[in-house]
Amino acid sequence: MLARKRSRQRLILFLILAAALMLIGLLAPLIVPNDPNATNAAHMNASPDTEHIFGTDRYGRCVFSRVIMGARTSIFSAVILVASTFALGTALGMIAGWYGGAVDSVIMRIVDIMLAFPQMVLAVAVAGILGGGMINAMLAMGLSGWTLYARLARAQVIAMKKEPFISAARLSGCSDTKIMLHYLLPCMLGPLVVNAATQLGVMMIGIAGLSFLGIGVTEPHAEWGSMINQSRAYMQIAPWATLAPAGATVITVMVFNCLGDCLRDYLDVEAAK
Amino acid sequence: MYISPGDPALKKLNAQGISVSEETLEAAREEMGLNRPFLVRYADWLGNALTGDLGTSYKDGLPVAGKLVHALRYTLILSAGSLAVSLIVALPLSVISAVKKDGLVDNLVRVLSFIGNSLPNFLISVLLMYFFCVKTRLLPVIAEENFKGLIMPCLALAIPMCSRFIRQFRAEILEQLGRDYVFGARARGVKSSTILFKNVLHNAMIPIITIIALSVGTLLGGSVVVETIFRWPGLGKLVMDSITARDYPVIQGFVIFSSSVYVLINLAADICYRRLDPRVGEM
Amino acid sequence: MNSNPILSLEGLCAGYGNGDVISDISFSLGRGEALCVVGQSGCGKSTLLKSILGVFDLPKITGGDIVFDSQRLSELSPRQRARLSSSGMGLIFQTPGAAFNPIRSYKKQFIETLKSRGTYDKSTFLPLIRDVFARLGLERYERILASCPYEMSGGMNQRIALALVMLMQQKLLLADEPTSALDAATRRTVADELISMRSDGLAQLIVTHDLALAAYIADRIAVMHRGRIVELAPARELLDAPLHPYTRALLKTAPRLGGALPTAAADTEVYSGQLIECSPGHYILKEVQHGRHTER
Repeated sequence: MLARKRSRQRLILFLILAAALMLIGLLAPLIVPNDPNATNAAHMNASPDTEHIFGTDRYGRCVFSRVIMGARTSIFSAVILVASTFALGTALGMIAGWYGGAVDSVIMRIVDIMLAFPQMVLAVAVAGILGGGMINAMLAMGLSGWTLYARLARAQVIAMKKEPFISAARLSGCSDTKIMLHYLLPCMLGPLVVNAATQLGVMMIGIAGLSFLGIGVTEPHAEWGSMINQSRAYMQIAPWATLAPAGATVITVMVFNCLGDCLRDYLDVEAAK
Repeated sequence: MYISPGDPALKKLNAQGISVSEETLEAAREEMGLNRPFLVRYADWLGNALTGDLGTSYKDGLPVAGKLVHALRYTLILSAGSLAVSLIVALPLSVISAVKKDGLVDNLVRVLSFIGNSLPNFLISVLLMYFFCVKTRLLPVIAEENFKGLIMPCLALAIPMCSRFIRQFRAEILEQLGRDYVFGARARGVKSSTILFKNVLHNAMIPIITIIALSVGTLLGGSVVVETIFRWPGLGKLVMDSITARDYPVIQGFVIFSSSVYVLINLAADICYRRLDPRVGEM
Repeated sequence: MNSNPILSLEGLCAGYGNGDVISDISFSLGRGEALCVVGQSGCGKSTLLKSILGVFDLPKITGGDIVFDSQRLSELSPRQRARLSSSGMGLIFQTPGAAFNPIRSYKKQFIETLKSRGTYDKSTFLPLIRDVFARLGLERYERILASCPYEMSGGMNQRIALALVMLMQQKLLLADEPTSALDAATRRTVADELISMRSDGLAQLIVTHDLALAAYIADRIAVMHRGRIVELAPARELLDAPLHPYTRALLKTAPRLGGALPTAAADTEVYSGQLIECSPGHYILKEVQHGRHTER
């Protein structure tokens, strides 16, 4: 009883924190105190003060404003990426599991091929070849990202296919689409969502990594990974320009990782009940 | 590869400092085989790749396979080093953490591994560099090809990996500790050390080996970032240099090469746990 | 009752931290005696076994005491207690083989058990195993020893577990539903083995919801309901003339589940026969009688 209450409270806490971060990202243009892209030659590498609370970078841009704008890029690219790989992977996995046969073989062979490539290796190569840009970076990360959900969804569908309630639904004349959407999907959403939540952190780190390497989001667009890369050479003079986006990355990734953990614990406790 | 922006021939000529005219550019394209259709080039490359010929680098005309093998040495040293560090730290800590669940060590280890798991390796690299090179000047900024130069890139890869290992290993050991056979062995009065080392850890090793084998993929990807930052002349730095130079044969070779290494290691893991778990061979 | 019991419970209460699951349990068990504790799921049978075994942190004993082999367990340190339990009490699980590591050979697990108790002797190990296995009718002991539990059938695993209890010369067998995961024929084999093991003086405390098994092997039966023993009597007496209403209700439900005629419940022999074989007919009853009186 107590464990259940605590797991729920923790989940709610991190849901609120994650929502707050997303809200910051969403409202970024309204929150920023200064234009994140406005350079100021008079204020280069200035230390934090009341006007620029995280100081300025080597072009005199307000670090705080850029970190806030970066939240938008980092969080939303990760969320969109996870959402789309989740949807694609789940749909393909369910189709493979439900219909079996040739469809299954084709989809799972593609999954097998994707699994042979380590995700970051493939992402670096693809992003490198496609050239920078946020969309390309997301494509590069998503190329193998969906396989996780596809394998999970397929395994679940195959396990559930023989359950009596599915046979009952079939006998009562439900269409395949209806069975998949109304009967199968709700039953297997739990583990899939837990995986998606943990993937948020992974994807965020991945995209930031690509941007750090200069093959993801590129200047002047504000993104934490590229900000860290741009400012690290000046770390001795202006450590704030590196530490602010670094802190933002770590805190955001931690919140999303915690969210994943809490969600898993919560579902475990609920299942154990 | 024609989808990508930037012309490799132009890049090459620029890099060689040759003044670019339409004719020289055409000649360079001809020489590099860029004038043929994309699919023809791809089929050619694939056919050659199967025989181990990954083509020649656009940049310096050297065989790609040779370049990769040369760079692989460095990546292997770095990967093996960080894997060793991670395992040396993660194995004992996860065992202690699982056996003394909810104890002081467990709580500390859980918090630290959680933080470590949330740190991107590029960030660790930057911070390590700041503290060891800029602040304390203990280590060189650019990794020399010796032990001292290996420390920072190794740590940058090992910290997040070790944290992930601890979390995953701990879960596997806890799972085994909760099994009935542990209960039965304790009821029979079997020594705790025998239960832990000969039964629980043996059985937990099977999933743990899978986790380690899969982490090689993360290592190969992570080495791109870390090698670039510390200028460690491994596969990762090679591919980043090649991306800048639009040296496609090397990039393609890198993907094929890394994936082969990854697949081979996972194959080895399969064979490994066939030996550990007699059930696997029969299925 | 027995003059020198191997196990005595004196008003034992135990639970998992929020209220007692079992309370005021008192009985004693003599050498070579079999007591079956019957009752429906959740009545506290398994908690009772775990409390007696006492190797684990839970359940916690909150009242009363246990005397095992003339030693008052409350006077022992947890370590002494664990040692006493593991050397004197054997445990058989419901899931056959669950008490053993599924992917480690029986030989290794037998040896590590004996070594931990300091009774391993390489020269006598194999002959001893051969004797014990032969007594339980297990053939080809060397092949069994080389196998892992996952390779064995349920019945085999359960019999091997019994063999280890004999090998360790334990005084008390605690069995949690020892036959309920087995098929009818194997169930009978295991039940017969349990009976034959008593000739060495092995006391048995068998927890089960299987009334047929209880009728077949028990000297006495205790009926548990909601954490308390509601009736305790010699097996036949309890089955013939139950006094407590719960016992009557429990006895009434069983034959119906077994598909037998309710009127037959008056006669004990018919009762047990039908419950064991789950099929009608007198000759099965004779089989039971035969198995009961002629020990192998």
